[in-house]
Amino acid sequence: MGIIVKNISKLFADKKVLDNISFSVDEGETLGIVGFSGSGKSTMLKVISGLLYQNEGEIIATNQELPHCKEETLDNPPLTHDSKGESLYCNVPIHDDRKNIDIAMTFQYSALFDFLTVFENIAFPLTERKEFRHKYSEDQLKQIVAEKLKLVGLEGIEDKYPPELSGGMQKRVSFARAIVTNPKIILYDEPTAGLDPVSSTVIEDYIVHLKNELKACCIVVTHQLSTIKRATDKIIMLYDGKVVFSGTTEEMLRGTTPYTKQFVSASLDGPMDILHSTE
Amino acid sequence: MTLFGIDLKATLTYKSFMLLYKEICTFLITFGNLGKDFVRVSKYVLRFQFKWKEIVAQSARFGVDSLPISLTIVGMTAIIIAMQTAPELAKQGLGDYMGLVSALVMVREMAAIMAGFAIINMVGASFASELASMSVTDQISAMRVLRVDPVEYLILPRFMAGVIMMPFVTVVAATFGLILAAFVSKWTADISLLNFLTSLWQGLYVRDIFIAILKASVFGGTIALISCSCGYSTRGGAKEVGLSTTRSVVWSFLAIAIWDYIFAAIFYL
Repeated sequence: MGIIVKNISKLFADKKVLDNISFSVDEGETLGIVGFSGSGKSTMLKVISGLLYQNEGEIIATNQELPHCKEETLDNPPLTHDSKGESLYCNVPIHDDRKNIDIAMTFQYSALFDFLTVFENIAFPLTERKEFRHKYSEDQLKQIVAEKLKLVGLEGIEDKYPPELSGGMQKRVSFARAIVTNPKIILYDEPTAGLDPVSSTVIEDYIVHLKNELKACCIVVTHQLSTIKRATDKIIMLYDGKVVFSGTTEEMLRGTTPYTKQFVSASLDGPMDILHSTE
Repeated sequence: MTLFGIDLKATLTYKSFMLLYKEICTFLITFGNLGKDFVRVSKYVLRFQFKWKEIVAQSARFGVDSLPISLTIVGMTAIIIAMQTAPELAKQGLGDYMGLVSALVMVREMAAIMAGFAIINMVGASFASELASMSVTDQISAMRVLRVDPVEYLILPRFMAGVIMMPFVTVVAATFGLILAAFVSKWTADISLLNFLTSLWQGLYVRDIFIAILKASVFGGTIALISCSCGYSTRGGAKEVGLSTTRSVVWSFLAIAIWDYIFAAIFYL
């Protein structure tokens, strides 16, 4: 499953925070959304995850497995058919089919439920979400949580509470919670913000590892060059709610445009006026 | 914005009106959020769709947290009323009516309202600050992304805990208050326990007890809903968490006073 974002605009009062944003991410691909603080990166993630609704445009989930796609309800015709000519995969507006489209999101400050243990946090979607409730036994839950914790390199911490963990460990636990339902779309909001370089490297490695493991479509919001370099395949750069660069990670890091050049060199000189920004 | 060379925005009048305008906006937003959350909670209640595990946990917390302070406040109120009333009644030769007066005061009014005030401070404030902290640290957003309805998981169990546990706390507090009143009457006005009890039975109506239980249930649900709603809708940081908690306490006090008047007008007018 992938994502096509078409002409998204989002307004807060009179201020256009996202202005006609378009991009696409394929299955097994990681897109980095970069830009200075207040450029609309996190808002973009919130719109994709459904925490905010856009004022204009739409977000399409591609290659959604639906046994009974109704063409007339779809924005695009079905992509592929089986031998009988029936639809197997189709594109659907993401917010119209949230029941079938599992989107995971990790937050800048982990957002773990601090009144629950690590085990309860990771098992939370499986125990509380309608479609999974009572589906798994206690033993199955323990096994699934242990597997996910192993995937993020944290074993045997099931009984700890989030405040007992370091920032890096909390991030990894939040990754484990996000992927417990094997989502096909994973959104990371500043996954390495506030971490030391070594912990950042560990997190970046897990982003790549999880993408390969789950064959997921990933979007990473970041302004850390190391994360861009190690964890992303392509980049869009936002400034003042608009896309000012779209290309591969290599092109971005080479600084081929005035915007990317200013960003990569962390310079005040360039087309982006950060000091006088009203954000 | 200037008028006759005066910067209007710098005047005290302008600032006062802006403050009033902001307060009115906050009032309307809070009222709107409260209505919205009430509708959402009602949907689950009507469908009888409850998370019993959570309700039990919150009920235990509601009862355990609020009982000591409720008993203290209702008990002290009962002692003060008995200390001031029993000697006066005894002087007028009406000492035998002390139990009746205590029963009417405690069951009809004091137990529910005093326990309500205690619960607003003890449990309501804790609900509001807890949910507000969850909101500003993205925990509620995370719950929504995980496709778990925060209203069902967070607000509904607390609301139900309020509805279920507040009558229990009120009944226990009223009983405790009446026991203390009996002893204080004996101590201050030499009204015998037997006389107090006999008179108490005369003033203890089954109808009053049912109304007190219903009133306590409404108080409990209202406190929980207002506190959760104020906390849930918090945006911002530490300052807003504090403001939401204060708002939840003020609104709960007002709501309890209004409900108390409504109950008195409906059942005792």
